[in-house]
Amino acid sequence: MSAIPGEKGRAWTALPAPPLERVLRRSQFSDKFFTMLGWVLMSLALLVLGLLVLNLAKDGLARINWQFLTSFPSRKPAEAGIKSAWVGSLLVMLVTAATAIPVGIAAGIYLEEYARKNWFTTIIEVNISNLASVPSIIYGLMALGLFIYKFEDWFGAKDDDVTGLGHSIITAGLTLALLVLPIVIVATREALRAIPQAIREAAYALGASRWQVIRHHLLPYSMGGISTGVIISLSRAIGETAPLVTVGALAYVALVPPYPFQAKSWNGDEDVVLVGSVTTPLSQIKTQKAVDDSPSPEAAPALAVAPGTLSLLIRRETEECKSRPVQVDVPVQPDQPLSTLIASIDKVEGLSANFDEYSTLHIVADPGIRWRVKKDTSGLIAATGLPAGGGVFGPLEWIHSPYTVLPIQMFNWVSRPDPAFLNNAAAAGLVLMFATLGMNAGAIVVRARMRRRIKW
Amino acid sequence: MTTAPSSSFDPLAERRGGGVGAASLKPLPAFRTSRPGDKVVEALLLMAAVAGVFITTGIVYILLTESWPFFEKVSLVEFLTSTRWTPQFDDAHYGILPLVAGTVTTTIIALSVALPVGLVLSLWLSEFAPPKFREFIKPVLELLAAVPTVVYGYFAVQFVSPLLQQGFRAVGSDLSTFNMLSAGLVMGVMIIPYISSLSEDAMRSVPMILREGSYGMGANRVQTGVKVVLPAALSGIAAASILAVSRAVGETMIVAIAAGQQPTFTFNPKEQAATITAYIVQVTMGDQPHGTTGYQSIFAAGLALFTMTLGFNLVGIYLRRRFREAY
Repeated sequence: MSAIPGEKGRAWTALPAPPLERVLRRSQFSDKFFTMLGWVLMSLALLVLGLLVLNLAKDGLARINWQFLTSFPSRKPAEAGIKSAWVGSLLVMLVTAATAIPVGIAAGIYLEEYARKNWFTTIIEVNISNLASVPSIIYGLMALGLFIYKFEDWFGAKDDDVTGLGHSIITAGLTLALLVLPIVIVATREALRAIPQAIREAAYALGASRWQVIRHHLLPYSMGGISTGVIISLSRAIGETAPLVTVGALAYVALVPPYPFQAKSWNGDEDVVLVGSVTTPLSQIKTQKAVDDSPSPEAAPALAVAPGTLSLLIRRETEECKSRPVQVDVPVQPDQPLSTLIASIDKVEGLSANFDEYSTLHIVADPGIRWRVKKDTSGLIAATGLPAGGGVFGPLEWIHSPYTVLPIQMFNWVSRPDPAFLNNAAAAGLVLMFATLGMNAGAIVVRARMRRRIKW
Repeated sequence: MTTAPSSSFDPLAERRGGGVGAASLKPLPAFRTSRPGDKVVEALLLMAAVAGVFITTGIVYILLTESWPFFEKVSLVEFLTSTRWTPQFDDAHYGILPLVAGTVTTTIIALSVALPVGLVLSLWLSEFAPPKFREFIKPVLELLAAVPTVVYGYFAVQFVSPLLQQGFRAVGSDLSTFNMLSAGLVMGVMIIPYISSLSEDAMRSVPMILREGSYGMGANRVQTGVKVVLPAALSGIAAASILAVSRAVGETMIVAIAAGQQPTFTFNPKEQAATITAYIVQVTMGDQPHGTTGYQSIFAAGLALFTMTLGFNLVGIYLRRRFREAY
């Protein structure tokens, strides 16, 4: 390798020596040029980040107010809010953290402190480093196939509504936990590796067992590094959209999951509860009309309205009286036009139905009933509710609740034609950015403090 | 990958008879070397470590079993060679090529942004930037990868795309609202940190003595960086680039929002086209019932995507071995 470019191949005795001054100047020039280039590119990259935030702020800042944070999504852009979205994000993160953090740290400790070098641990290590490059949507597909359908095949009872994990908070939380597990593992291993060997040797010399060394010395010392990794991984999880789209986060959720030991009665501050929705894009309905003449087994399930009965448990509720819940069956005819379906739902007292511009059927009932939303094979979401009144919800019932999260809510609003929804999307994006950037800033602070405190 | 330093350290090796003084040392009679709970803890930790293998196994198992019925209806030849992807039509065709074309085009655009910028930035960070400033700016640059992709999608379709449209109109051309160009460009910005940060780590681990040798020969910083540090760190740079490619190929929300959802067989960045990931999102948003060909097709598409990223990974492992420089 020649250190001086352009002079390769010539015998150096034959070199006509260029004036030293010119060589130096040229050399200084290229250094200065590259320094400038670096500054320019870095500023450009940060400029993009700034533009992104400014663009969001320009479109969405006006929408961020108390109403936006405390309202459910709505067909009217000005009344819509992100209550169900941020509550959903928070709860999904809770499940993710509760599973990914202990498992990830444990795996990191094993690989760094226990594993001997053999083919088995090599497989585990190669595996974990490869998982980092698997696209997130693949995790979503895996969760869709495994948690929702395979679990239903394996463990599901036929008439019970507990089949698989369903489109629920726990499915979403576990999916994201799988996704961020490698990040937690790698962070744990790096933090442990940074601890000088002398610490371990000193502890062993005093008679500590391997686990005692880890528990009393290594874990406390590596806590800073591990928590940095954990924060980073959760900030990644909170912004993830694609895997949750595949495991069926709903775009329109107008309820918050029941909190532990919540009384099963109407508490009066909720207006509507989503009971079920049929999300069939307009395009598919049109397609269906086109192929109606040639019925094929493939095409039939795409029908927006499948024959059968839509069973709903509802009850009337006013300030004065609360009726007992009654089951209402809305008959659905095979070739029933969508409009008459709405009409027949509307006839049921206390229920109303409508379609938004995406042909999502929204059935709205009074609150106080905990609904489990379940899709049947027709794509129609039937809802079965538990009787309201009497008793309380269990401490963990919220994990089976249908949900939406901030990125899904934003995605839903971005893809709507009405520009007013774009402002909502931008506002949701701002909240999301606030959360992720805040967490990242937190990680930077934790890392900096840790560096300052520990000196080996 | 290096071995865990501790795995070579066994405090009790001597007493077990493996060490130097094995002959003279006998186990102390009343000395418990490990507590009974320790084995339980180790078993628990091992179970957690095995979870990583279960994830991969689960992914492969689900992708294969769920897409198996699809390949019973659609031949592998049609899947890989047909240029029409029309699952929702009466006359359904399942050729993955249009989706692959969309994926490849957006990835190439993203890389043509991220690779040069990322490489220059990493070289600049490692060789030129003041150390204190570098410590500060690296995490800040990494924020680019931390922005939620759905926010990037919004940025692409609401800011970049209109800007590009203005530019194209100024030169008498036209650009649709949804296009692969804006999606690819924004994706490129997103993956810059993957290249710059990881490459910078690799460059900084190049021994100082190589730089000193180069400076001693009269080279300046740029020459040292490009001709000494860069080649020495090539295996790390290759690994970083491969990771960036995987990210671009698997990126979903930016392309689903900004590149359009029409599966067209085109490499023209001005047009709209669906990528593999965008198709999966489109189908799962539309509630395809379990068991239909439409539902199975997303697993087939997922399998194709997984195979692509796996291929890149293998290339990455090969490159890392091929260009590894041991000091």
